[in-house]
Amino acid sequence: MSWPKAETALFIVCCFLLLYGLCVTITGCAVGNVGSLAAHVTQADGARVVDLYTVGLYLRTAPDDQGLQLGFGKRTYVFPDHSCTPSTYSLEPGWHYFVVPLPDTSAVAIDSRHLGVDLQLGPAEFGITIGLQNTVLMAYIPSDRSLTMQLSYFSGQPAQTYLRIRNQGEPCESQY
Amino acid sequence: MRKPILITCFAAGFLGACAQTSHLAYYYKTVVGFNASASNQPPSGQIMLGYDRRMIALVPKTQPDSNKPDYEAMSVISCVNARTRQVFSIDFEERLATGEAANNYADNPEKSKSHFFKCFDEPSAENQQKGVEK
Repeated sequence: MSWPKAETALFIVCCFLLLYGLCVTITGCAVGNVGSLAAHVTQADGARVVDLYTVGLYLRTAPDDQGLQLGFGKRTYVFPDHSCTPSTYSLEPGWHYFVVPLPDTSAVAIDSRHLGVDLQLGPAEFGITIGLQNTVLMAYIPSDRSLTMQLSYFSGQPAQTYLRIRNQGEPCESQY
Repeated sequence: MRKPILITCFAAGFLGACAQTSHLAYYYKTVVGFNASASNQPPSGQIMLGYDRRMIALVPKTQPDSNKPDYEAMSVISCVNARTRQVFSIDFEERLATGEAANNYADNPEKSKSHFFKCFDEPSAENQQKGVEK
């Protein structure tokens, strides 16, 4: 029994894509903001939103988002964008590949989706997940802060993000 | 083969147990698969296989650098309107005040309603546009 040429070609292409995906998943590696990752930065109202895509092994080193994951992941970080956090200006809107200039400041919200194995090492929780996981960190605020914050976040629509933060008792009122 | 796994689990637990909860955190978590997780404040943990969705709020009880064991760490007043569009797609709108700002709002509930925490009794502009009722 012989297969038609078109089906054979399709089968070969599918096998190739599967093998390619497997190879990329196994060999992809990123640490912090460097490695096999891509990010899209969006300028929103009062915030810069970073959609970070990773594949393979990814070691997260940010103090507020530590962990290790293997598989496919998308993490969305919402950073405050104002004159008091100059480090966010390194986040130029657009696509970034292999090196993403993430700021030193903590993100005010993190929306993470992951397929594979994820080892969480805090700060809010530690544990391991095998499978599909979606975590939306809506607030992560030091206990000694006195502030008001208003945040609107729409998953998949980063440009619609709205953020206002007002800190009390600090030289820079908007500093987070 | 068993020893490295045990060591890894112990290391993860040790790191988590040593971590001071010095931050207010709340998050929404959805898992399809296997999940084993724990938190140190309050001490809790779970092992789950299948589907799980939960909202978790962690509020620190004491100041990490305070010598007074009963000293309350912080005051919080918060209003969150979360909406799930798909299984793994959540929109939310939150208004939050902590510390002295929260105390001020608590002392002046009318001010809270009129100035900042309108979400307690009014649908947001975004929801009005979309025709969503709270």
